[in-house]
Amino acid sequence: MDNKQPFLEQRLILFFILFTALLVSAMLFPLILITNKSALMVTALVLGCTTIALFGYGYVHILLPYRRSKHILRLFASGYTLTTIVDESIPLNKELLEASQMLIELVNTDQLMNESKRQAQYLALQNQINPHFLYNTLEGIRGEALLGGLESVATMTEALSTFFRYTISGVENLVTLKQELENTQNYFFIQQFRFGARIKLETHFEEEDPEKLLGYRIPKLTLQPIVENSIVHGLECKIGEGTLKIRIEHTKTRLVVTIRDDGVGMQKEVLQRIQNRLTTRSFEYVKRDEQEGGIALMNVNNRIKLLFGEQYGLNVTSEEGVGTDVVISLPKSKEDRGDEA
Amino acid sequence: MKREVFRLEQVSLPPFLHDIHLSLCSGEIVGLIALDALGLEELLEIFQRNTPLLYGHVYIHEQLVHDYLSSSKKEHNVMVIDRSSILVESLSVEENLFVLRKGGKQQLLRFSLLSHQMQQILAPYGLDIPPRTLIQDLPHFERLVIQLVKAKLNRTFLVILKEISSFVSEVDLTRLKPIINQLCSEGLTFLYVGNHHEEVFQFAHRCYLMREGRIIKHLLSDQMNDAIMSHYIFEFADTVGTADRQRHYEQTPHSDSVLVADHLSYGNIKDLSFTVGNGETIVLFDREHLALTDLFALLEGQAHAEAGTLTINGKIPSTKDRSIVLVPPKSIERLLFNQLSVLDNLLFSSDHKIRGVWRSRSRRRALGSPLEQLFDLDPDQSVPPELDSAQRLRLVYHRILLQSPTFLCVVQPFTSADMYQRMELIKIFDELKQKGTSILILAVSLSDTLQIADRLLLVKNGRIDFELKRSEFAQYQGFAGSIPKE
Repeated sequence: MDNKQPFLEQRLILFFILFTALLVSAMLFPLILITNKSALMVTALVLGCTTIALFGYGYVHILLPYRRSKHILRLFASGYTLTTIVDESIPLNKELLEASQMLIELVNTDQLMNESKRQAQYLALQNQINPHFLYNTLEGIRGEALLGGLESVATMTEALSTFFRYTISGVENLVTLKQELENTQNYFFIQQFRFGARIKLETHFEEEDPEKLLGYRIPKLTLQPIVENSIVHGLECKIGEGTLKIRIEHTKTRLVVTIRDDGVGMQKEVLQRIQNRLTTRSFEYVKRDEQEGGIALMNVNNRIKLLFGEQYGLNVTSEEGVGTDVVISLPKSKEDRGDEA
Repeated sequence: MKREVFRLEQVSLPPFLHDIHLSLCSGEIVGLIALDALGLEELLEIFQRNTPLLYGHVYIHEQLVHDYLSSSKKEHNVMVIDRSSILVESLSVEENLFVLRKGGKQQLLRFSLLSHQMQQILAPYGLDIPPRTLIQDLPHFERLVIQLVKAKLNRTFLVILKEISSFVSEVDLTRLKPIINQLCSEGLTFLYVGNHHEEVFQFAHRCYLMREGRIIKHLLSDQMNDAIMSHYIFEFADTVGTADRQRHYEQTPHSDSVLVADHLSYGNIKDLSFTVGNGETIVLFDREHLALTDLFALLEGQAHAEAGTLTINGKIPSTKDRSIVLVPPKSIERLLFNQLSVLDNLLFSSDHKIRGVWRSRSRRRALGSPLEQLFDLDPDQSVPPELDSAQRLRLVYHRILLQSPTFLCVVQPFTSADMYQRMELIKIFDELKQKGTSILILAVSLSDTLQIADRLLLVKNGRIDFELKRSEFAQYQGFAGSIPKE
């Protein structure tokens, strides 16, 4: 750590010394008056200016940084940010800075990352052993077999095995958008055996050459859990046809994926609860009952924030009768950062 | 690849804004419809300058310029165009465009050169303004275009068009569309802030919906339609579109004329003739925004007709007549007195109905007590400066309800009102109608005026062009706001 780091504590001590000196000077003021009356104006002016300068210094260099530190502590307490508990530009003192670093090391990335990875794996595995999922899939295979068309049985089985293989292999890796989209389409293909033409998937690229976008790397199992959420909580409950649209666009620094469904949408209270959990970061969601919903969204959001920073992540909007939009904001990255994850 | 010019990431400023995610790209028109007014002003403030945030990040051209830890008050190069023009009225167009701008350091001005440059710059936008024309002599539309050109000259990256239909006529909005599209193709970005989706959808490529300080929906072009919007404004439709209400409007007979304009001519008014019946509500819609100011001046008694007559209850209009109420534009500012108490503001124009109201405090209190709950304010306290616009609007219109005039003229009553305020206003207009008040609404944009109208009179070149009855309103093709169901 840089030894020249300014601390609020040092500034407070300096302010205290200067303030004491000013008090002493003020007390000596009558003495100056007795000895030299002509210096009255000059001394008063100097004392006045020093007082203003001292309090100005106190406001800019002590009060404002103190308020900033307080604001950071409040954000930490409410879960908005877990990156620090001190204002690193001007910490209160060295000990608090070290304690903060220790706390962050204990709390932050590794542990939460591990929990998130474990949960992503758990959610993926849960899908595989979910009796409804297996039952429906096998029913589809059986139905197709009964009809005698072996080709479709083969296609479906292939889709299922590809999906399992992709899901089981390491969750920690970054994959290309192309791979993630293929897996999502594969998942959707399997679900279509249940729903038939009732559900549709459309992928739209906001770029003339989609290949430019498909090479960007994103965390594995980012899209599929959200698509699954849209089908299970949005389209499945809808009477009539439903469409799921994946829209991919990019700016100079970001890759933005929007997953929109025109399903039943969420109740206001449910949406608010999910939005609050997406805004703040905590372990709490890991322990929650899946019935509460939105766990997959929280998991994806936490993994993105831990990997890339708090300015990235998910944003969800929803309205009953209209549908749900999930916007995923990611940094543009073409390098293989799988080892870093 | 999109060139992002402005982005808000998870911006929170309780109790006004919560978790705002919003991005604007170069060369696009993005709509913003606030279903209620909560947080809109604060959001627009964040667009213009760095203001303290509880949390969040602000990016301009993908560079972080402000976050929850910054305390700078730096202004962004963003222009807001609303009813109050940013141009200096007493200066010429040339001075506004070339002298009053950053970097304009010339000591000696060559007006002939500036005029020539001005005409060259304005020509592509269809404006031909004579040299040294003062801004105050220009119509609203031309002022608006000059502000847009000024934004371009100042290299402003974002222009916020805030409720422009409240001061620009419908014809001018149609003329404005290609100009905005041209500026967009030159890389300028627009945020079109409006209250009516019908209007915003005409301009915007995509649109954000806002409610209770949150972005509740990002509508892409394929979702910008009435079917989707009906899910967000169903409260309005449920309140305003009730069968009882519609029946009441259809059944009301309108005998005796309260207002009579007979071959009236003054300023831009040319041979205007119409009547407003007893208990009738008429919308006088001036698509060109030429005649309404002159008509309002005649109603106020400030001007005298050059030809023809204008009478209310058989008399020449006078502001001293307590049976007439005129509500000018920006009524809140002009009709409320902050130094008076809430109760005094309410009873201000009802003393002709209640004898000795100013002498007896107990009478005033008795009159005010049923309204106490409505305003949630101490009636004896002066109007608090921080009172929100909804409460102020409520105060003004409840005063009119107490006054129970026989004739009421309102200019653009729904301007700057959010959906909930508009619902409340419609309810008050219904109540006035039930009391038998004849209402004349002067409008340059229809907004929700048709919801309370019995007839629509379209003014063109200063005279009535055509007339539609309530059952024929659906025939109107234009930037209409909400239209009553048949």
